[in-house]
Amino acid sequence: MSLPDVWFVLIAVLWTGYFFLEGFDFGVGILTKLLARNEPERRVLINTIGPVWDGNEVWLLTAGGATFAAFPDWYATLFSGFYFPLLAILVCLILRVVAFEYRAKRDDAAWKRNWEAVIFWTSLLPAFLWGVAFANIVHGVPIDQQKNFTGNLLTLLNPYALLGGCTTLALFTFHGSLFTALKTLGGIRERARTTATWSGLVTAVLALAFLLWTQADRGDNWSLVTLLLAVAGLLAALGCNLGGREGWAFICSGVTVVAAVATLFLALFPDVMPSTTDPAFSLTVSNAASAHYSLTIMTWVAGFATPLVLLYQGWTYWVFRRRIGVQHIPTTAH
Amino acid sequence: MFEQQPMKMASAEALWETAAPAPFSVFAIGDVSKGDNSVELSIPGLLSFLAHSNFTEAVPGINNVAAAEAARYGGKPADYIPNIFVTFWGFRLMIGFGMTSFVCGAAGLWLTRKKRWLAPERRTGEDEVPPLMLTRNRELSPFLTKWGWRCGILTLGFPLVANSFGWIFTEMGRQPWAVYGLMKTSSAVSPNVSVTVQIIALSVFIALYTVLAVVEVKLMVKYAKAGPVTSEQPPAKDPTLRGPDADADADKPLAFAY
Repeated sequence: MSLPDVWFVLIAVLWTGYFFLEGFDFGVGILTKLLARNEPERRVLINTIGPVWDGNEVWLLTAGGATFAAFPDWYATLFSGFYFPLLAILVCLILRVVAFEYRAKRDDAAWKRNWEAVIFWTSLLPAFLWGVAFANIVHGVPIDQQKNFTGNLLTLLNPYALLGGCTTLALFTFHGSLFTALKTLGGIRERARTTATWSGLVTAVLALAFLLWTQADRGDNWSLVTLLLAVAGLLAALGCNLGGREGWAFICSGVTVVAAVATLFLALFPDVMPSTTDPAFSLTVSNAASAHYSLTIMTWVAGFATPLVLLYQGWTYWVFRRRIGVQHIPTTAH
Repeated sequence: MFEQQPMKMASAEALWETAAPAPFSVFAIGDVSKGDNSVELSIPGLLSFLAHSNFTEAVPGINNVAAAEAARYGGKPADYIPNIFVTFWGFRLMIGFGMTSFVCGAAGLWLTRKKRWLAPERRTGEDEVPPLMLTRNRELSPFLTKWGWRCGILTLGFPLVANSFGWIFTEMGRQPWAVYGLMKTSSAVSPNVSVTVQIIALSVFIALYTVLAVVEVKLMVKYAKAGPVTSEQPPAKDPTLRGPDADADADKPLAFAY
């Protein structure tokens, strides 16, 4: 395995980690409107992800940073080509962060309602847009010989990409419902399980359609294996949820996220951004990669830093492992 | 810096011609971008010292670096000169605001001391507001005390301002290069992102950060005016510890909730 291949795998792992982790916290953000019936319940939901959402976002930064350093041409084509969708995602992530922080800083119903609306929309929109972005990356976009994206915003909003967006949106809502069921107490826990059932069924339909389309478009034998694993995980998650096994249900929906992202990256390899203009113009693992020296340094840094990050993030989840119910929400403003 | 990016160093100082020893310009009056500045106040040899750790060695000037770069990479020497007005004053404002913050901080650290280097009867307790003490026994006058506290508030934003000017200086001083000697800014621009798109994106960020700055400052003022919560007590025991009373704590509200 050459160093660029190693970095392709590492970037895939970073994105997988990001979607596994931020996937459920996007889902919880969406559930603040769908599931919570009153203010204390909304606070319960927000507090389940309160200590962890920022750590989850680190995975996005490292995925973006690793792409920049390991595949500068991929980064350049992707970020200038998908300018507006990525701008929208960035604005959402900025607003979402401050919404969590500011919401409880004033004891004023209108203030809280506004920030809650921000939390809902800035969770929903990126959950959808990431699917759109990845579907386009995997299927390919118009790229010319100079590795420049030649399409426009409408090129990106094609049926396959929109299906990808709906899939990630449904999948993250499902994943978030199972996380909520695992992390809460009382009525909200019961309702989270109900929400998980219907959002899981919607996800099953969308994900099957999207993954089969991906498989038909660019799949190989390996992506077929992960596709089947994703479907199995989804069905198992639904079953465990119905059987009241919340921990297992969450693990299984996690398997679905991991296997689905793996399917996308396996379908993509050895390209990193296929060209629909001419396959010869595609960006590949070899023609978009950095110099060997850069990759060697990065491999050493990643080798030492990644276990450390995993350790302290795992520790955060351990410290905040207890379930939360409305009785834990303080009555004062902060 | 003079080794990796000699132009940045020269433009920070508006040092037009190579000089040995090179002076450090503290303040200049006149147009520094005209190629010949009427420097009011400069410290002889200091720039040489900052670059080489001795007071006599030469520091390359703007015109010399520009001529050398033009000879090496092609084009006119003028193509290799950044905006000297911005770099010269950006550097000065960075240092000025930064040093002012530092001086205020150091003064505050000294004036608000509660126990050390104070006469025993002038010492204050943990939760008392200390008087601003100049020496062991001497307190600042009420007028100076008032302005001392005000300075603390008014200079709150100075590190941010210094930081911003520092970034403006370092990015402008790099021009026309994005990566010095390897890639020019003009070739680093995405060819498929139009000026309109960039204006939209920049406007979005300016609007977003303006609104967030207003909200943030309002919240800071609200919380600063409210003062610290004095009724808050540390938890009697750590609820995460599993002990005989752990269940009694299980329904306790969170000490901090979003």
